Amino acid sequence: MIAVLRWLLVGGIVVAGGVLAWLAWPATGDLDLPAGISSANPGMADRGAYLVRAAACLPCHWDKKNGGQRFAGGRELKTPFGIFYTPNITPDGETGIGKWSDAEFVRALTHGIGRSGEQLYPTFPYTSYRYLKFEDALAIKAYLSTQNAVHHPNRPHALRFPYSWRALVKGWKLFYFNRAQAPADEPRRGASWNRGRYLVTAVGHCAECHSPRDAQGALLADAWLQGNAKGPDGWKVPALAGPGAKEFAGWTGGQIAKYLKSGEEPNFDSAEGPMAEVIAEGTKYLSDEDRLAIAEYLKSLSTTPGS
Amino acid sequence: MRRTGGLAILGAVLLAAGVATGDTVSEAQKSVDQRVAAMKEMGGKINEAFQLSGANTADARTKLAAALAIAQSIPSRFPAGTADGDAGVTTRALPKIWSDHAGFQKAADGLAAALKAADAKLAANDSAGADAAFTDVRKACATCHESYRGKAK
Repeated sequence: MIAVLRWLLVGGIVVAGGVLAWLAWPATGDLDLPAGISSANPGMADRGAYLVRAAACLPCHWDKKNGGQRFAGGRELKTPFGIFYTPNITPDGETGIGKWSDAEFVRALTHGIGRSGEQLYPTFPYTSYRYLKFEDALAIKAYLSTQNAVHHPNRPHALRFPYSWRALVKGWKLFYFNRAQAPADEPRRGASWNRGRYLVTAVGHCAECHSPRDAQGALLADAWLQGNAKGPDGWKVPALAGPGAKEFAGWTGGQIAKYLKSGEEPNFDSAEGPMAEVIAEGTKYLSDEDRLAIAEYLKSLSTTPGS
Repeated sequence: MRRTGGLAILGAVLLAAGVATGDTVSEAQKSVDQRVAAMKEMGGKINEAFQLSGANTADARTKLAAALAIAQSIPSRFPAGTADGDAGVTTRALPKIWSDHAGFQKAADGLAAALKAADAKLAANDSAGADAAFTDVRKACATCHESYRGKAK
């Protein structure tokens, strides 16, 4: 009996040690980018300038309130897991992403893995960016590389235990993240609906704020875009789909597009809080066609519940 | 039989609990809910007036008059005990409404004035002027919300 217990104990230690080693082991392996695509290709920076707005990168990567520099990060994001400080994504070689290769950048956006193979917390919305086209991810890199290099070291996050242990993200990904291919365009729908879906689900990562999360911080797939009572900085984020989206469902496509341009709500109220920042640094710069595409896609969610 | 009786008692207890929960909506919360509904109604009326302006001036002005009546009632809709942080209420109304009541009153008066100005433009069939006046109405809403309304909750 004692021998059996001893073997169980030894086995348990070995398994636990193996799990710990696996968690702590940095991710290896570069991403294979398709031949011919590069952030250095002509036109990529211009394309990226638009996408950076569509993705509203600045509101998070700019500590505007405290006089920070654009894209230099440092913005505080209060969450139930602790405080995150966004990183510097300017081309500074030492404290920014100036030394990152194309493959490293795309891997971070689509796989949530940092330059040294470390796990990135899903506060960085790679759970949405996994659907980004590689060319679009590289265009974003191309644009960022044209920005001022700002020397601004990243501030470590202030998270509660066990969330403070970064390696656990690897285990989290086992349950909540896979590098799924973006869903194929639906030919039944028009081009603008498919464009809208891409902008909402991948680039704009709307679900990251507009969906509720479970205790482990994972987006609840069956409540996708159905609002989030515990949104960023303590804001309740309204539902864009599902039973809670009654008010939003009353907006016309044109009203949604207008809101994304100017923050003007149909009831004469105006966008506030984090969404006002998303509009001011993001959706306000999009083309009318893209704003209407987003509206068309969102309207299709509230008119056909459960789809 | 005993089991049925037990279930009946359990059901009665749950029902009583449900009724009790329903009764726990405080007077303060009722006041908050009513003013939220009034604000939404006002916003709806303003939007209807805006949509009608240029097409049906008479109806637009009727909607605007209804909105103005609500706007003028705003200061009376914030009784003591209905601020964010007060017991038994969930509201976005910041305590500043009460601590800076003169400023709040001024903001509410600003909305009423903006609505009257829009009405005057409608009455004068000044379409471009009305559009600008509606923009001022929106700004008046935002002015008050920026200072006296807290985070969405």
